[in-house]
Amino acid sequence: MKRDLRNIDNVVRELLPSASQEHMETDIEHVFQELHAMPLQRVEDGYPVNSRRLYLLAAAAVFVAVLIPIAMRPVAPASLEITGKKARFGEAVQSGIYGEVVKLEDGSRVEMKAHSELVLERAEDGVRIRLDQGDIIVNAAKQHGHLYVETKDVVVSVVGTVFYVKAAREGSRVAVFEGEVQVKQGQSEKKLGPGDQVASNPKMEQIPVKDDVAWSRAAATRVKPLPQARPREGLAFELARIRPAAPPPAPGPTERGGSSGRYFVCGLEDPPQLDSRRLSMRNQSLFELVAYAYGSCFELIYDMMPFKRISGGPDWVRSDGWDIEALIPEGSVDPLPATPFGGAILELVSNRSPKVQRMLQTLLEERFKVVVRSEKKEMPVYVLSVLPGGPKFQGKEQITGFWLKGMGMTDAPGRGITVAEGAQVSMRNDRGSCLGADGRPGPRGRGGPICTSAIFANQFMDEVATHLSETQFAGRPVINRTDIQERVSFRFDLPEVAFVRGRLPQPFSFKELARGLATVGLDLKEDPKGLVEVLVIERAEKPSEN
Amino acid sequence: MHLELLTNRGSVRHAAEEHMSTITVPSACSENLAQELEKIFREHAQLMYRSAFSVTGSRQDAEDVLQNIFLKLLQREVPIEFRKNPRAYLYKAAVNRALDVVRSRKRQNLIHDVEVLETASADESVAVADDEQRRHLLEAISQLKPTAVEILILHYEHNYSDAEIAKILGKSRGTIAVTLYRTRARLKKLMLRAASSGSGGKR
Repeated sequence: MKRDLRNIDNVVRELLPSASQEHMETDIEHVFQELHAMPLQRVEDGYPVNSRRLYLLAAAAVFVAVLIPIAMRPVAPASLEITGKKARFGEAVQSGIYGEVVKLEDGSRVEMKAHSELVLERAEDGVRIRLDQGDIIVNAAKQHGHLYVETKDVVVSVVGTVFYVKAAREGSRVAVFEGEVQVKQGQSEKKLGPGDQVASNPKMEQIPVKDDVAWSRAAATRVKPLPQARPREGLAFELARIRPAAPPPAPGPTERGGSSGRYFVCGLEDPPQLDSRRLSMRNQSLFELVAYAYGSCFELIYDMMPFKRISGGPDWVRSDGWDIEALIPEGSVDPLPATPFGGAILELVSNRSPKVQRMLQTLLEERFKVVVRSEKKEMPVYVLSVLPGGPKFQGKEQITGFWLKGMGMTDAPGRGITVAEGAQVSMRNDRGSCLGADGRPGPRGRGGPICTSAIFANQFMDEVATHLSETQFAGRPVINRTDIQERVSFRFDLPEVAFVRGRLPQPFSFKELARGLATVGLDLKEDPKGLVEVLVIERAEKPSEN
Repeated sequence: MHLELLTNRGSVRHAAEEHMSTITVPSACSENLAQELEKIFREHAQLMYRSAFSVTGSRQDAEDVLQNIFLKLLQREVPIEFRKNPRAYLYKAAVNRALDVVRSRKRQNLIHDVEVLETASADESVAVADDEQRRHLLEAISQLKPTAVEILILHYEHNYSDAEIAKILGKSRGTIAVTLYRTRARLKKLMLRAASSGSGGKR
């Protein structure tokens, strides 16, 4: 027996696969590269929302510094529903890293920013949402009783309105989009209407409502634009140095994949570095700077596609690189969350750091004399609508079962992990290869064809349309005309696609895409003359000396 | 808000011999969570990768295992086990996830196509017989209990002694020795069965 065991001992020692140090280090580095290169929106809360739409929205919004509410009517919703689950009174609801939408039984909706926390409590004459931290947008249904939102220093009472509350360490801020709220702080009481805003702490800077709700995925569609605009404030860097960039170094040995590598992190080879005091950008063209300042990093993706959303300007706008070191005034922006997927720069490139974005706009306008115009441009588009039978979304729970490398994640069939928000394409089965129509595996993953499915988890249709616009799918702008206001989750299969790391995959054919979308009850139609909002660089000059 | 936690640092192979040091793991609500997680993850990535590779025999799968675990950790509440001992948690997670991958393949009748022979040191001279036996070995390992595989990999791949394994996994030395003994016997049985059926893992 002992001899047998010794034999098996040798067998295991000799045959157990053992990774070489070199391969191991390469692969581990690769894992982190892919994690860092993962599309931004899966990691944090804010999907890039079209900033220009938010400008419109914000234009009309007014903030109100609020306090205790004045009661309005009796009664209250009984419970919270959070993505299908019921939450009890007294239980804390945390929005996690993706944010959350909470529904009350009376139909009121509370959209929570990431890392927010609230508790639903019974009030004497209604329901009270105690906002312990973070930001929420409340879309209150007509109440039979009072609905209150309470922070540590203010109380807001509402009836059938849409408003925003922020609970920060330094104080609270309330802004009203439509309807009316009563705000009470200590002994003072104030009534706020559309466009009003109030901060409980005078040190809290009053900023356009758009800037404070930029995190909201539905702000552009759910919150009615208000009729008046707030004058734009001159946010600017404390200090900024602009220099022509040195030629970029040759790709290092760890760079894998395509020739340019530009596909990663919204096309950012050398992503800007950002923290609450400093913005550092290396070798960025003015075109890229305009994308950060006026749009989102998606503009850079779009620019690699047949349709472009930023145009104009002299040739050097795209060819010349600039190094920028800018100092952000102390305390002017909130501390920025860092992630392993590219650091706080995600805040900038995905439109979630509007103040820094505005500072960058100021810098470009002052030093590059940039004038950017937004206009509607006619171009071939796809229009997304609902088929007569209505949508057939599978729901978030049903779209697990696959592992999306570098794109999002799922787990083995039936297991716990849900697809990361915004996960999209390039998926394969557990063993890294495609399963063809006959059920047999195709060539293996690296550099070869991979299975693809489109996966959309917990997204608004505007976001779905944005993703469909990306080159892996349609290759031309997709316009959302579904009128679906809820977050949705669905997936559909697409044919194999040749995927070469670092290069943009070819778009699917219209037929392939339309066929896939039809399986979930969505219609995709071609419109040769759709109107798409684009940015035009009307004027730009090389920067003055520092 | 931070929790002071104990974990091991240092090279993978000699981690057990090193003294415990204190690091700061952020609480779930911290904005630096992801950054801190990545730091911890990097410390133990080699241990995880080696282990996952030994179970799956595939670099691609080993990469997937790492990526999967990290994202899982990022998306969920940080488990208490992780807070107590990140190294043990990550090691176990790697082994378990790797087993999931292998078993999932088997469920799909695909194990015969898996590139289990994608070893780093594979050269042209590797005998076909060895390939087949290695496949039998990996298939047999996939049929073991996860705890047995955890011990097996620490013993054969990471060359830890029974005492070291006991310390790492928080079990008694006797348990480790007995489990290893039984695991070898079970492996032998499973491999003999696979060899006699001549299936090559195909079902």
